[in-house]
Amino acid sequence: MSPPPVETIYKEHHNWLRGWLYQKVGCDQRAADLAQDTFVRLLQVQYKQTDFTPEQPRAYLRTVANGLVIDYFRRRSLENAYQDAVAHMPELTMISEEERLLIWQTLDQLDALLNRLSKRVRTIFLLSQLEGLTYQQIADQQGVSLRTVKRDMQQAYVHCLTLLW
Amino acid sequence: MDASAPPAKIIAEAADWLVKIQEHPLTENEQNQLQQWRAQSANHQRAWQAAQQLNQSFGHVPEKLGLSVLSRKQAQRRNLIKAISALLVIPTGSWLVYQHSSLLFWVADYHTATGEIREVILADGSKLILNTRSAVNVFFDENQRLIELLEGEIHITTASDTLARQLFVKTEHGQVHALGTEFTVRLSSEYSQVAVQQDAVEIHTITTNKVQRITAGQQSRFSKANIEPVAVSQPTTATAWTRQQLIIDNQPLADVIAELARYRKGWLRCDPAIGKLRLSGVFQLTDTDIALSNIAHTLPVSVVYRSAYWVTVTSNK
Repeated sequence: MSPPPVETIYKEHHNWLRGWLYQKVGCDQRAADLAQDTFVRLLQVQYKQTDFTPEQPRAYLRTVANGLVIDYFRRRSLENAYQDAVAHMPELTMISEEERLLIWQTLDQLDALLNRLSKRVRTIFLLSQLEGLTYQQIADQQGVSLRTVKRDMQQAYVHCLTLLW
Repeated sequence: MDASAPPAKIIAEAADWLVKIQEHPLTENEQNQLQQWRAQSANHQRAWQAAQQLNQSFGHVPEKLGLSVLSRKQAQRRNLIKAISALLVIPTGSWLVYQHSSLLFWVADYHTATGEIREVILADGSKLILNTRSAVNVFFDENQRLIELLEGEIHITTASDTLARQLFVKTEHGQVHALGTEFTVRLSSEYSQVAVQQDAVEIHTITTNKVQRITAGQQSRFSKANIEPVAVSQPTTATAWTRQQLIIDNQPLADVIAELARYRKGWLRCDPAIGKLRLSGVFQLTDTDIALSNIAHTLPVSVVYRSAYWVTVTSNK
């Protein structure tokens, strides 16, 4: 039996998914967008693996949609932090639109990369990568051992490289 | 096995290399080992490409912006999520607490813009010089003369007071009691730094009330709880900025670039790979572009201008 095409899954599941997303994000327009994105993801997977079909469409769609919701909130939170930070850095208004777009996209990418790291690992990694502090300086500042700093750095690198693979 | 799944062992080894590189510049021997490691297989190459992509990404982000945005607090993340869920307007208050200095900065009694160095004569005749991007409040009453340093760096030459009032410089980390004197105070997020050019001052930390006397030609840093051991401070070097100069004596390039960055709008970043190169010289703070170009002539580095406000110093290899 050939797998049900995405159209069939869409017709059957679109309505409840949209309602479920509305519960999560509290905005009808946003829920509709995220529902579309969920089906686009399914199409993308089928494009790569033509015989792919979710055995339990409901659970599958919910998992994908949930990931999109988390990412949506992460980006909203990032946007707000970014707007606030920029408001306090007048120098950033002097750079061109392209440069700002590049910075924004890079921040978004890094934020998504670092999102699952624990607070301590994330902080240590950023202090090293952005502030350029030495491991010893980070250890002193964060009140942890040098070994912990190195272990956290290793963990952060493994995490990022795995996601960038 | 999925052929495209990331191989854990190779990734862990790549991470080990990155940790090492970040720790110290690789020796020639280590560089050869890394070359050999990379040449082992296509997957090794691929892991290293991911590492370079990661490095590049961080290079595109201005440090201050990246730090405040990417390390925003978890609570703030959760609150924002709640606020968005409820379709409320995002309160900016939480951010103002986090970035409190910015607001204080603009309502301070005296402040300087980036690159500006300004001299102020206070009511008692004391001379106050504010370095770039600095802010102070001044409180004089019948009992004391108090200067509150909110941001940046100041140089003070005290005048003898007709009312014989004590003079203090207060920072978030503690107080500096002037004992008739010339000195500089510089505020960073983690500590305050005092260098004395004439006579002496006394440091009092804010939470532990530790006390340390610093005399001419000495300097020290203190946090809210601790005072670092007293070190030597050349008065001409410590006050060079009051004459629009930066005097560097065998210091790492990363530190020199960080110093110059204080005087520039936009951001100036040093590639960590060359941050440990050492440098000496006298630079004019009035034009940091000239200073950068001098550095590029002295060391094997290039100054890359994406725009006037976005400059990176990189290896020119």
